[in-house]
Amino acid sequence: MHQDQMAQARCRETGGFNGDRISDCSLATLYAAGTDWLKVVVEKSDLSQSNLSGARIRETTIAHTALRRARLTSARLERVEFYFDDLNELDLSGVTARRCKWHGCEAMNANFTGAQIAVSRFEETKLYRAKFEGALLMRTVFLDARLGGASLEKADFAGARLVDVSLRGANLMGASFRDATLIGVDLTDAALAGVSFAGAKLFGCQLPPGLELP
Amino acid sequence: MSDSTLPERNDVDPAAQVAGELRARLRAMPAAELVEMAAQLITTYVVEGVQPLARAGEGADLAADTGGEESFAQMLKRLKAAKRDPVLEKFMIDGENISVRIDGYGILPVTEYRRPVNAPTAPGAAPAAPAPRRESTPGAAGSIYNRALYQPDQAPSAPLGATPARGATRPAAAAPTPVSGTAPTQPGQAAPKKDDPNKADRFTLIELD
Repeated sequence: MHQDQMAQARCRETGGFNGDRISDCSLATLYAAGTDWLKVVVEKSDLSQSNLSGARIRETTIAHTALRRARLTSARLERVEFYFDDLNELDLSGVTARRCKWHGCEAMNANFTGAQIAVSRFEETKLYRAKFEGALLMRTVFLDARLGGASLEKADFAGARLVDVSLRGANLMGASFRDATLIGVDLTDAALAGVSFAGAKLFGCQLPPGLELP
Repeated sequence: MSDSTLPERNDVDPAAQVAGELRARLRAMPAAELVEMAAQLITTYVVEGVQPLARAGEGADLAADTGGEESFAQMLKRLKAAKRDPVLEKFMIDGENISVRIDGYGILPVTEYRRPVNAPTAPGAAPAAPAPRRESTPGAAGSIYNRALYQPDQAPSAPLGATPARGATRPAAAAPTPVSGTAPTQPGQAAPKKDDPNKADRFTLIELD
């Protein structure tokens, strides 16, 4: 309890965290909108339903932490690594993420609407029903070594722009690429049953053999 | 045979056709989206020089990005390889140890703090096993947690609860506090036994101070 209050006070007084290690803290519903986080390690903590809208988070590791239903709208993430976090229903709409890594997380129903994600990796992260509507994904890899491909079932990429993205072997069953623009996307061995490509345009993509696009 | 029976000729180059379609698609995009895309393209592939995935292979890491993550020794090594500068050639790098060759003085170590800290072994004695590398914090360099957020040889950063109040120095800068039950270190005291790597490490820090 004492440590939780100290962390909240530090965030409030210094406008964020710098080089701190936040461990085993219960910071649910923390209000940290617009704060600046630099070289922070957050582990085994509860940040669920927190508000980090517009926060600037750099060179930070967030591990074994609950961010369920937290808000990171329009946040700027640079070199942020998420390990084994609960990111279900996390709101990352409008986020700018660069050189980020999501590993072993659960991000089902996570909202990446309008996000810009570049030079990033989603590894063994469940993205069932994740929303990437209107997002810009560039030089991004989705993979899952255990399942043979990333879990993106019923993910929504409507109107998204995917440039140099690897979805090799991904489970995209029931996903939507409606009106999306795919440039240099690797869909080799992806499970595409029930995928909607209505209005989508594909340029230089690698497709599974036999796939017929409308 | 009349012309009407011939199959329709397609004089359009397929590559040109794709390029035309791409242009049309880009034209249909809102200006803001185009600007976003152009900015990300330039930043990623021109400014940062990231290789496209097709060329990068199946590497498990993010795109190669040594800037800001390499140690001084690594940087020097990289510069030596890239520049072939005669001044840089005077530096000798062995792991994280850097030495410099100066005419008339021989080879002088620059990184004295990297010297071995174990007590010299007696002649004829069996060589001591190297002290295990300290992993003071979860997330040190060898951990899955990350690459370079922690410098392996820095003092551990204390949890928030242990840090002093506002205005105090950062935990990494604080002097190591002696553990209760241990005798105060005397100048010139020999290094502790090697069966306790933590003690050996602590002693190293005291020596530095």
